[in-house]
Order: sequence, then structure tokens, then C-alpha cells
Amino acid sequence: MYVYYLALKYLLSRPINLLSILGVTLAVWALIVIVSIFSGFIVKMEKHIQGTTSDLSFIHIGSSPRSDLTLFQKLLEADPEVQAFAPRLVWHGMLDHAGKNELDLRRLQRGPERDFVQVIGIDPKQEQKVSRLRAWLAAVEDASLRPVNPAKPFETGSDDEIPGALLGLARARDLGLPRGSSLTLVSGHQVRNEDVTRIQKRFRLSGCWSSGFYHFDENTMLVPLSVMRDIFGEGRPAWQQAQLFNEIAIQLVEGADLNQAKKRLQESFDKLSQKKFIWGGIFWTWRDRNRNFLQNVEHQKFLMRLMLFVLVIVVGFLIFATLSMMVVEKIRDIGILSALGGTRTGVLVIFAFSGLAIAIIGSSLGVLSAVWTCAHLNDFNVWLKDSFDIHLFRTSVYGLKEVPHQIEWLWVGIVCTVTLGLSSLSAIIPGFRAARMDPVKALRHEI
Amino acid sequence: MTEILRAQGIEKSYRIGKQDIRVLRGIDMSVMEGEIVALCGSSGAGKSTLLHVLGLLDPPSGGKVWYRDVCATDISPARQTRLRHDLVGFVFQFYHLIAELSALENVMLGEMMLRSLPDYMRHRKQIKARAVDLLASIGLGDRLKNRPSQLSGGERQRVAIARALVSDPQVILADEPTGNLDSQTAEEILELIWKINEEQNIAFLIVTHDQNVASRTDRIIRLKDGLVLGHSQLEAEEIPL
Ligand SMILES: Nc1ncnc2c1ncn2[C@@H]1O[C@H](COP(=O)(O)OP(=O)(O)O)[C@@H](O)[C@H]1O
Ligand SMILES: [Mg+2]
Repeated sequence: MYVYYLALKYLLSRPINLLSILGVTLAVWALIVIVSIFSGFIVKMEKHIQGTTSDLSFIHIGSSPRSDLTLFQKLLEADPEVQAFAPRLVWHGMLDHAGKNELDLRRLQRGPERDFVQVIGIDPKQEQKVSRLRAWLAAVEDASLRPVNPAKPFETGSDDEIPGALLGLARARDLGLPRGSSLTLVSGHQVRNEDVTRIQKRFRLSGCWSSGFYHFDENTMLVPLSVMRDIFGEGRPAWQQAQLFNEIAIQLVEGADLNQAKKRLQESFDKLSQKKFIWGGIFWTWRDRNRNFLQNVEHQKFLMRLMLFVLVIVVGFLIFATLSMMVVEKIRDIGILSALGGTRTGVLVIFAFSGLAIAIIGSSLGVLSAVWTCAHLNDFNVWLKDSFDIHLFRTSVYGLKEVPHQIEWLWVGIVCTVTLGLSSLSAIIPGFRAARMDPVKALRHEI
Repeated sequence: MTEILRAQGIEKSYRIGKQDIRVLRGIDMSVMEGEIVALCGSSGAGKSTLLHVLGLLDPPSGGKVWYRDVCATDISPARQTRLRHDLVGFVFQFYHLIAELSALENVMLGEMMLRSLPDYMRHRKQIKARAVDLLASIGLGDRLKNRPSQLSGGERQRVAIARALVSDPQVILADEPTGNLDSQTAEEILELIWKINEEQNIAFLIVTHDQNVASRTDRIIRLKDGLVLGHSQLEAEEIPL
């Protein structure tokens, strides 16, 4: 039993060993906390993205909007899992507004996208069935930026003919626009092979929304579907105009399998399009639509894990170096232990156990401190910001109220296993070297 | 008187490059129960080497070591370890205490060595009491908690002797135990050795350079060129060591 006793004595009486423990603690802490933040962030973002994207979307392939909405109404109403759907007319353009030409640093910082905007023509009544528009509107804390009438969010309250438009809170704040501001959408569209027709339409900011997904909020403007139909339907018969759309947001019943529904709808649509010779289009789940963004974050998380594991390897080297040094320093002790009746295995165990103890103590402290840190992450972030103006995690950038985090216990297990495995390995090598040492040589060793 | 330890034709050679260095070239010697024997010889004569072979720390190139009627050079390393622990104690010139342990812990270490944790826990009180007694009997009763670095050379050597005594050995192999001490302190250590010998009848084999030490022992074994020159009690003063 002397081996454990001695190993602990060695461990505790050498400050360098405490340093190794600290190293393990730090590595494990970082691995858990940082990955937890990433996981939490991904989960939050997925939720927000899911909130801004309907379960399924039909996306029209073709440059100008299509006018066969009735066909889709039949198709969707026939599907057992479709709960609601809302046609949309989605376009892109540049946003012009009063005071835009003043030097505005914040606007400049937005880079080349600063004037770009995605315009979605929606019918609020239908839209509320497929998205959480009402909740987003309510999420705007500043009452002066909330629409006057949430049920009819495009109402501007003024008598003029200018239609209302909603902007994401982030965008409106960036631009410093109050409710009632005049906005001009500039764009263009091509009808068949004619020249590009210029679109220039004035809107009045009727309010803002906040969905939580900063990317969506920053780059999107919601306008009445009817206005978009007027723009794109110029010169078409009224019945056609009333059917224009290029996207359909689809809400499925609770518990429906997204991918199966997508496949089923796509198949029915393909059959129909072959028969009737109509424009093509695809059904996408919300995940398909945001694949790039989600994969990006996942990829960053992967890279971060990889980088952090390098830290564990460095800590392994640290343990290896510390214990190798200890073996050299303790050469004489190895001789004495033999003289007192110690065995080679005993000597091996002393050093291996020291290493293992470093790893176990370090990992436990690491896990504990990581869990504690995660629990107090937000306070810590706020404290850092308030006391030192250091922004560890800019919650506002992502439209989050708190620093997101989610401890993945499987990951914690992996981290501990790898750390313990690597540390044991780095401990056993010097241990074997110590055990192989000739006790007589060890005794003859001059200090 | 019975023999505790006997060496028969011990040879030890080291191979350096292509050359064999024969350090011990056929040593015959023995130690009787309760005897104090001096092992003398010039520096490099092979005294330490012989001590290590006798203590089963170093296997000889030839010859046999007997403890009582056990041929210790023929048994397995595990049994050698056990035998070394049970019968032999070591004392070294440079004390060789473990720096991280207190005086008391250094002494207890010998008794911890071959015990399992539950066995140790069961006997912990006895082991500790025995170590405390031992340290008290050699005059270190008030230095139990001190680390070796907080003790003087003489005190460290006392702790080393207590450590050798703790597992009740029958013979203690001491390699120049006073070699690093001033004459006053050396005298105290020698007195302690003789006292222990008298009270507990433990045999000592003491490697020494010191005339004064050798002359007091029961017998002197002289080594020269890897061979035993002679056993004597009387010639000690006449032949330069
Ligand atoms: N590991 C070794 N390799 C080669 N020679 C050694 C080794 N150990 C001891 N020797 C040699 O053996 C001889 C005897 O050494 P030692 O027993 O320490 O002498 P003493 O203790 O009598 O002064 C010396 O010449 C020494 O150089
Ligand atoms: Mg010597």
C-alpha cells in the first residue's frame, strides 16, 4: 500500500505536479464550457431558425412568379398532414430611406449587404397560421416600434395610399428608423424576354418584429402580398394577378415526419407537373433551407473540438515531462525502495498512480468547474461586460437574452475518457522507465 | 553461534566496452548471529559492490549467498524481495531518506512496504506506535514530524537506522554509516549501533575506513583486489586500512 501513500506524498509536495493538475483542469474546463456554448448556441439558433422558417416550403423555380395557386391549394388540402399554408411572394431589392446619404458608420459596417433586403409579400391572416408572426411582433419591447394593430400589422395609421411594411427590429435600429418612416424598395424584374422592368415602390414603416434569428431580422422586410401582386401582375388579367406567388409556407400537423411529408408532396407535385406541363418547383424542409448556416456552425464546433483536443495532448506532454523529471529526481528513492523490500511493479505503480491521480483530480475539478461556469455563464458574461467592457459573448449580436449553453454529457464522458487515457499513457512511460532502473545504480547515483 | 549470512565464491564483473572489470574475484565470508563485523579496504576495492550483492540488490556474476539455510541467489526475485525485507536492513553513508516524508513516515515506510491497504489499516496503530517507540529510543522522540531537510546529519542517520530496525532484521548492512559525519556525531552513531547490537542481538556488517571503528568490532574482513585478504581481530592497528 506504500505506493499510493508515497505517490500522493510526491504529488502534493511538488508544486509542479499541482501545475499539471491545473493544466488538466483547464483543458477539461475549456473543452466542456466552449463546446457547451456551441451546442447551446446551435440549439437556440435552430429553434430561432425553425421559428422563422415554416416546416416545409414550396419554392418555385423560375424568375417570375407563377399564377397557379389554385392547383396547389388542391394539392395541399388533399394532404393529410398539411395543417395550414400561406402563399408568399419573395423578392430582393435595395432599401432606400430618408437620411440614407448621411454618413452612418453603423450602416457602413454592414458591408456590401448594407442596402440589400429580402422582401416577402405576405398575407398576415394566412401567415399567422404558418409562422409566429404575432409572437414576433409582441417580442418588440419598444412600444413605439411595435405595429399599432398587431392583427393588421401593415396598417400605417395615416390616410395616404402608401402601404405599410415591417422591418426586423435589428435592421430598423441599425438604420435609426422610427415608425412611420418612408422606405423605398428599388429592384427590377424581367417579364419573359423583354427588358428588365424597374421596380420602385414606396412603403411606410408600420412597425418591427423580433424573431430571435438575427440573420433573418437584419435582412428581411415584410410587405402586404397584395402590393407585391400589384407590382408583378402589371398588365396581367385580374384573376391571374390574384394568384401570383413564388413560395408557399406550409405548416404540418404536430408530430408529422418532415422528410416523409416533403417526399410525398414532391411526388404528387411531380406527377401533376408532368401531366399539366407546368413550371417546376421543389419542396424543402426548414433544415434544407438553412443547411449552409447550420452546417457552418456545426463545422465551427467540430474545428473547435479539434483545436481543444490539441490542448489535451499538450497537457499529456506536460504530465509526461513532469513525471519524467520526477523519475530523474527520485532515482535514489527508487534504490531505497528496493532496499526496503519494494518491487519493480511497486515503483511502476508509484509513478503511474501519480500521473493517474493528476488526471483524475484535474478532470474532476475540470468537470465541476465547467458545470459551475455553465450555470453562471450569463452572470459572468454580464459581469465582464459591466466591469471591464469585455464582450465574451455578444448576446445582442445574435438577438439572444442570455449566453446559450447546453452541457452534452456524452461529450463530457468522451473528454474525461480521452484525458484519462492520454494522461495514463503519459504517466506509464516514465513509470516503466523508473521500474526498469537498476536499484544499485539508483543507490550509487549522486544527488 | 549460528551463521546468519554466508557468501561463497562471490564474483562480480562489469563489462565496459570489450573489457571485463572483475571487481569481486571469489569472496568467501560469513556473518554470525549477533556479531559486528567490519568490512575494510581501500576506495574502489569493491566493498559497496559486495554489500549490494549480499543484500540481494545486485545479482553476482558467480557464487552464492546464503541466509541461514536458504540459498538466496537461487530463489525468485519476489522471494528475494521478501527475504530482504524480513531479514536485512540497510544503512547508507548518505542516509537516503525520502525527502517528502517526515522522520516518522520514513521509519513506517519499511513496514508499509509489503502490506496491502486493509492489512495496513488494521495494523496502523501498532506500526505507528512501534515507529514512535523506535525513534524515541534513539533520541528523536521530539522530531517525529520533521522532514529530513530539517534534521542534522547525525539525526538523519539515526532515522535511517530506525528505518532499518523497524521490520526486525537479523542483520544490518551499513555502508560507511559514519563516513559523512564529524567525529563527535560519528561516535554517537557508533554507540547507538553497539547499543542496538547488545539489546536486540542484531548482527552488523559495517563498511568503514575508520581505524577507530574497525578496532572495536568483533572481526575485520579486509578486501583487496577483489579478494579477502584476511580475517583478524588483532592486526587491526598494524595493517593500514
Ligand atoms: N556499474 C558499474 N560499472 C562499472 N564499474 C563499476 C560499477 N559499479 C562499480 N564499479 C567499479 O567497481 C569497483 C568497486 O566499486 P565499489 O564497490 O563502489 O568500491 P568501494 O565501495 O570499495 O569504494 C570500482 O572500481 C568501480 O569503479
Ligand atoms: Mg563504497
